[in-house]
Amino acid sequence: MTGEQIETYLRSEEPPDDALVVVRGGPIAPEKIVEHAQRQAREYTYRNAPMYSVSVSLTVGDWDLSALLVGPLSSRSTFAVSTAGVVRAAGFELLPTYEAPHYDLLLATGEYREAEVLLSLFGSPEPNPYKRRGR
Amino acid sequence: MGVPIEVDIPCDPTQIDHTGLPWTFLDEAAHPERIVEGAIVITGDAEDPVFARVASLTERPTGVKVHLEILPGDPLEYAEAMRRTHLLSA
Repeated sequence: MTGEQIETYLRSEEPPDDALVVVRGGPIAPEKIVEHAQRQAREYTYRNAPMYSVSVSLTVGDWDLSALLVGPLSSRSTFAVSTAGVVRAAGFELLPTYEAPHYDLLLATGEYREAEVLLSLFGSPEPNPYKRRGR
Repeated sequence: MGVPIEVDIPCDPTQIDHTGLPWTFLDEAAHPERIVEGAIVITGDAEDPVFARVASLTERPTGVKVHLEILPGDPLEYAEAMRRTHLLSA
């Protein structure tokens, strides 16, 4: 196993069930989830196994949805929302990694079918009204 | 029907690491030789491309990791400004 252990970068934080989980566009599509999860697994491990995950942003601490869209998601045209409770009830784990509001949403296999299941937990993609238009 | 967009190097701009910067692997680049420190590139994906500056290239056990600094604005805004100021024909 050559990947770096993600455990080095975990925060001690448990998001409440009603925290919003926001994924990002361009396309919010299973193909993109698979691509990004496999890239992550190439570089990182979790519990000594390849870490299939995608980056998501959560409304934790002082971060509300607008702050997420104008901040970490500012380059993204679209976004989709679920909640921590819904995602976890479906069996997906949320790992607080690096600095808030960043989380890694873990997938078991990073395969297409699993990505479809994950995206079924999110609402329809919406345009990001704060997409960065220069400063 | 226009020419399909081909990003220089795909990434998920929200996929950051401990540096706070998005990252990807050099071998995913369409033309890896163009990906050098300081280079301005198009990244993201064809459906939602963004400009970035290559911040660093780092040898890792799993490949060369490329960190990217996402630049402000939409690529089309840059193109519009260049057309407006005749920068391309200067």
